[in-house]
Amino acid sequence: MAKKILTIEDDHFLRELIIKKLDQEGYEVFEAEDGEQGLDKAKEVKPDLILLDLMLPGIDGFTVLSEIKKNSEISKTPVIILSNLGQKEDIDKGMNLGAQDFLIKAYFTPGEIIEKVRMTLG
Amino acid sequence: MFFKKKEEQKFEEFYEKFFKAFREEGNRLLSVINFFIDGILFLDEKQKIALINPKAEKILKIKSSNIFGQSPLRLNHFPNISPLVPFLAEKPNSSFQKEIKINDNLFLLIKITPIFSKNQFLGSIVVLKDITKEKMIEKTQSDFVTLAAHQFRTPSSAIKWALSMLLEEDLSNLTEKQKDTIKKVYNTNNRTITLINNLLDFTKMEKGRSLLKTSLLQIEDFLIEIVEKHKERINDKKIKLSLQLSPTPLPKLMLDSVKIKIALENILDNAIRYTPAKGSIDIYFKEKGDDIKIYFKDTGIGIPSSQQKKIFTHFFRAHNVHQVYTEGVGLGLFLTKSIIEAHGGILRFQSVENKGSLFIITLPIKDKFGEFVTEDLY
Repeated sequence: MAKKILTIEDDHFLRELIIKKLDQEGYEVFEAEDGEQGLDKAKEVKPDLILLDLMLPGIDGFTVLSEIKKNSEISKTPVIILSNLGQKEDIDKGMNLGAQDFLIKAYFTPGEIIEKVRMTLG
Repeated sequence: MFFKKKEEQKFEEFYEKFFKAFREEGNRLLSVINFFIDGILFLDEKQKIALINPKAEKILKIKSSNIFGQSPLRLNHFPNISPLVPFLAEKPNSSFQKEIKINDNLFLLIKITPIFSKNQFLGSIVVLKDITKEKMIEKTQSDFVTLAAHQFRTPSSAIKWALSMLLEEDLSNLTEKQKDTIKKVYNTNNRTITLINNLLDFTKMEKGRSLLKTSLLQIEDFLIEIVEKHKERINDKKIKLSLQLSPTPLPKLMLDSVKIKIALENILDNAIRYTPAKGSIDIYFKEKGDDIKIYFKDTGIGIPSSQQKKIFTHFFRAHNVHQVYTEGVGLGLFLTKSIIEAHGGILRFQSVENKGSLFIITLPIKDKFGEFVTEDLY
């Protein structure tokens, strides 16, 4: 069965691109465009992996991540942060909250992101 | 001096005149001090407050009568004075200036000048300049650049992603000509991304000049942590790294933990990057007088002597590093130097091309004021 991936990203175009790429790789893709929706979707579909943006309308990515880690049903789901924030403090904060990895969007191509996803899923 | 009678008379006249003029001159000087646009304090030879002008009273929110004749060490309970206490209490050897954040709405530039007469210390003059407005403008500018740079990151990421997918032919097959052009656009966009990063680094560096939060910390702990963090890179290059801790515990230093880590990491990062495989890096410490010195000695490619003057200039990169590390932009040492100087320290180096470099960080020991120092000093 195809692995389920949830991408939480507010930029429409970026979301479209990454979904296309994930889709091509044979993953079952779910999408959310803000933090609240993302959290609901995560609880609902229980994905195998979450790609999470940090600067989101409403509740931000850090809050989404800590909520995920608090919920016993999905707390084990690996979360890869995919953000344009890249200050050391942001990275430390994300990793301390339990993120699997922290990828800065401008440094990684969708192909490289898929590679990280594949490695994380094993 | 000996005077004859007649001359004695003359001398008294002269004496009278002289003191009249002196008194007038003194009054004039006092008026200048009283109406001076900056705050002025005078500390006597025992570091006690001997004079304070109205502007200084206003800036420090105190009455002259409350602090006159007192040692600054006893003024810690005045919120506007307490951040200045460590600087006022110390007898200055030479004049220095420092930007100090008193609170969110008040930034001061203090200049302290010792006065000597025939090698005898007479006291010091302290000038307090209110630089709040300049600081606010600086902050607005830096915040704007940070915000703008961040805003540019999202569209340039989108361009990068879309072009890379086109290039990987995820969308449709391309002719060689199309691929070639897209590749060029892709590279140009990557250059934009690098420029944006430079801007962000620049604002980070601007912030490096002022310390956010200092506390008394052990410098060696930072080196242990940083070396551990880079262990993999060090092992990969088979570099022999020795971190020699002091046999007796070193005194703690007043440090901004976030900033000092960036500075130390930059130096180590350079040492690892520019030391060829199987080279060595030695890190050791020395306590000298009122300072702690940290030495980073490597067997790296060194800095060409003709370019050594420029290495602390922003965006400067020596000509022999381009091949070793193409992505560098030349901000690391500039940032490091401003952080060390913000701590009242000095960053120096010696280097011979193709032999290696020695970087020396000197940081002042301030813990003799430990009991007066609070965590939120700045």
